[in-house]
Amino acid sequence: MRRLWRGCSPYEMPMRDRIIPTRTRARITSDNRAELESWIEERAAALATSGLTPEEAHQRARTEFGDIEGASRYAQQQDVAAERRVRALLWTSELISDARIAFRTLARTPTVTTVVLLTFALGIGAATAVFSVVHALLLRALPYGDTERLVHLPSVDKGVIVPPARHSASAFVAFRERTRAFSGIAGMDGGNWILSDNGDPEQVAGAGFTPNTFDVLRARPSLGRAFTAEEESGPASQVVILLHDLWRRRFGGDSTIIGRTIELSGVRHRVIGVMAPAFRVPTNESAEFIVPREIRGILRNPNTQHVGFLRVFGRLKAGSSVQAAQRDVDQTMRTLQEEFPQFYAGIGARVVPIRTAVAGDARLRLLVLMGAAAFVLLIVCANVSGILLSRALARRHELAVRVALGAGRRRLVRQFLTEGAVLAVLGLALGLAVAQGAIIALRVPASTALPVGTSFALEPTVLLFGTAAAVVTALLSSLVPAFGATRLPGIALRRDTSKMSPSRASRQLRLALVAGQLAISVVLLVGAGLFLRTLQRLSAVDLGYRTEQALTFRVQFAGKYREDAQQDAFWSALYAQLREIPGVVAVGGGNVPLGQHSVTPFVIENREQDGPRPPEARYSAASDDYFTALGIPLLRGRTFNASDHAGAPVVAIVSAGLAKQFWPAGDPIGTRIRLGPNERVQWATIVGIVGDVHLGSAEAPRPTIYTSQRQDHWPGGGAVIVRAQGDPRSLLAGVRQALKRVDPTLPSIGLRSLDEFRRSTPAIAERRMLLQLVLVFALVALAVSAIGVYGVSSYSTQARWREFGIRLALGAPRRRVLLLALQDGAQVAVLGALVGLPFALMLSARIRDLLYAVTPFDALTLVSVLATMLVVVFVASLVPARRAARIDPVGMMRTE
Amino acid sequence: MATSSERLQGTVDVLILKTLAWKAMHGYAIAQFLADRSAGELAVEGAALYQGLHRLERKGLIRSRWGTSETNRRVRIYSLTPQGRTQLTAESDGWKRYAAAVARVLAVRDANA
Repeated sequence: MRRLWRGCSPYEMPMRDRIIPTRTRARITSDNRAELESWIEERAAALATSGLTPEEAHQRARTEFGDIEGASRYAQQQDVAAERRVRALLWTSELISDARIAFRTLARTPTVTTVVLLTFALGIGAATAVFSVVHALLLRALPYGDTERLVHLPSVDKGVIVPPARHSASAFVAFRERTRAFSGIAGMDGGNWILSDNGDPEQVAGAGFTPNTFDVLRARPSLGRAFTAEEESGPASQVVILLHDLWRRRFGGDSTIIGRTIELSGVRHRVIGVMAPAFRVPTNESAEFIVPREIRGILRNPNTQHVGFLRVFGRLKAGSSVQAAQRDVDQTMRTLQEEFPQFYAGIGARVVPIRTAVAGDARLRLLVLMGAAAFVLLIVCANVSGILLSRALARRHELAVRVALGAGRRRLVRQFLTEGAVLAVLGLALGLAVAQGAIIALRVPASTALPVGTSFALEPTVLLFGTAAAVVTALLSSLVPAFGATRLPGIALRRDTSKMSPSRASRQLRLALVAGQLAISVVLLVGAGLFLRTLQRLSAVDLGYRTEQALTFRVQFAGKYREDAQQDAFWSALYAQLREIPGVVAVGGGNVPLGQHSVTPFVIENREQDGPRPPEARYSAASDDYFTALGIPLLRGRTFNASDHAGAPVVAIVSAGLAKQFWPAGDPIGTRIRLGPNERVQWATIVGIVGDVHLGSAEAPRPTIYTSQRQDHWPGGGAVIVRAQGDPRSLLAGVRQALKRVDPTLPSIGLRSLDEFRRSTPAIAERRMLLQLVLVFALVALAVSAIGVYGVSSYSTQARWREFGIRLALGAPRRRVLLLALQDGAQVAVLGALVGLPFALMLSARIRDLLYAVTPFDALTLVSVLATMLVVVFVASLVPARRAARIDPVGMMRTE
Repeated sequence: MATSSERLQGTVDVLILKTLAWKAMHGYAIAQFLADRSAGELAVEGAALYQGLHRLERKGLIRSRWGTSETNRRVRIYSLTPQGRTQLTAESDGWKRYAAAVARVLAVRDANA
């Protein structure tokens, strides 16, 4: 301290020299009054020497001075303003010094600080990363105008939305013409095209827009223009609008692309526009370009007018609600049902706000993840609280000194909060780094587990969330120690604080914090356990074909092989080439890729159908060796062979499920069925029955009909299965070359092993991402709680050091001391389990929809979770307990 | 353009600073000093001076402490701070230029100063 300022005006002093207390308002007033009085007195005394009486002199002095009242008021104002500034400076300087102390305190205990910061960073990083996904899917502004009025109209079959929930051209027109709740109705279809400009031929997903779709969505290209009315309704005009990603990826973001033509599946299309980066085709996020879709041809053809192919969207009129629109749509569908019961019996449409439609079924999964991340943050709070609290207790001597020097409780609390703020800033920086890493890592599982094209990153809103999370976490974790450790009566200056044992209350607080952490860990572990069991069950489902040692890929004709004979030649050449690769056991092909399906109504010869609508079955054309290559067992009859060629009688093979459903007692072989609504289609004779096949792991097999690939030609292309002797991945290069030898212009799409294919099916991929994240969260939670348990038990062991030493000296066996030292651990474990389990059961009942063949009360999961928790707690408290059991009582007594 | 009241305030401020540059003084002593130096021509009303002192203290140009006057009264004694000295030097040129005008203006007794 350089000097103690003697006067009452500290304003210009350098802050670090200031020890002058601030003045209160009342003090300012009395100071000023005293000053004025002495001023008047001085003047009156001077006047009195010239012969005036004291009263006259006083009176004169006051008059001369002028407006005393006004001057006092003015002076008071000035002084209060000055005071305010000083207080602000003081506050800042205290803050800076608090921060400096905080840094010093943190640096003094580097291990504790590192643990706290890492815990912090993990919690904030995890929560921020998960939030970035939640934000992308549930919160981010959709790339359409006035989204409150935009709705999706998925079709429902007997009250259930069956994706992709498309409508027929007739239903679309009915919506457009007969409803009153909408200002516009839009339809879009999707498909895959081969793009062959600028690089290797590539399969690209696209969408077709019916007229006015851009108006209904309220979206416009950011470059170029939308379709003109003529392009929209004219005969098949070849124009295309690119989505931003395709434009950047394939054409390097070249803005001169407008007006150029590109080749899509062998047809030249003129590029007329590019959409803004954020734009996605709703519920078809993988589409990368848009073409006009003219539906008049489809509408006129009786074979196609009632076939579902359009996703339908509507824009509500101002003043019409979702409920009103639903009534409107129900009415419209009812008319169709009455008019064409054979196509629409049981078929309806639901009005779904666009936000719900876009998030799809990811919503529940995201909420689960967000909940798990919130739990981790809570654990982080509890844990950091505990650590800071025990450090605060260890600093009681320092606190006592500060109280003795005049620091008030507020000042001490502020010191703790500042420490929290410093932790928050450092933790946030680390946490954002963790979040960025996690986001990059998440993109891999997200590509299969989230709606295609979902992009998430550390954008401003997400950063804001991370910051808020850091601030709240830091505040919560420093409040407990701040108020717990600064109760003034508890902080008396004593000579030897090291021997003071912590108060009962603070010990209980710490135990409660750790028990809380364990309870949350139990909840997360139960969640992870249930998802693990679900995944096990899903992976163990017998799909009806063998996924090991086989490859699959797709071929798209891209406008080639329009003639049936050309297709036959292509397939037999390809199969022959593939069979020649060493290590290939069987090669088969079908028209529908694995995991997808095509549905057809069918009629059984000489049989009355049950309802107004004919029964439906899944359906695919298949090559002779399709069943062998996939490992689908032939149950009766025969598979296709060379005799089933184009001119021969048409044949079909049905699945066991279909046979059982429609011929519960009899034998379908030899019976004839007809596919599709068209009566001119030839009857097909059933020649064989094969095993049932699951489409996805979580779905029951559905009745399926197979036709011969040589008798049923599809224009698009097909899927090929190659069964190998050993590791199928060793054949990848050979398969690509084989296709190239047959047709060098066709890419092999989605070439991978069937095992990989199975892992990427939504049911499994979605749950795997859930499992991975919840498991990571649960393990982080468990690790953090283990640190908490270790902290509590080593602290209490230390506090009871003397007691243990005395017990040992009095002859207590070491085993007894070990058990005593394990007590705290056992206590928190029991408490954690008692609180955690009911909570876990309550929450897991809410995620029933995400489980498969596992009940939320799965005994195996619950038992393993408890066992894991107990083992972790035991190990964490064993280290300090063993130290206690090894105390040398004689040595301890001597040092005392 | 500053209003006349601001100009008057500025003038009072400069007079106070100039006076305190000579030595630390209490309020009434400053008033006396100004009156004596100008042989009664440069009389600043007490209220204006008092306000000026508190204004300058807020600005950190002067500081105050309690002390004793020659007549043994407890008075508030003002002195120049380093900032005040700098400010005075900076305004010194202007001060000289306005001196004549200031003298005239100050001759007018203005209760609103």
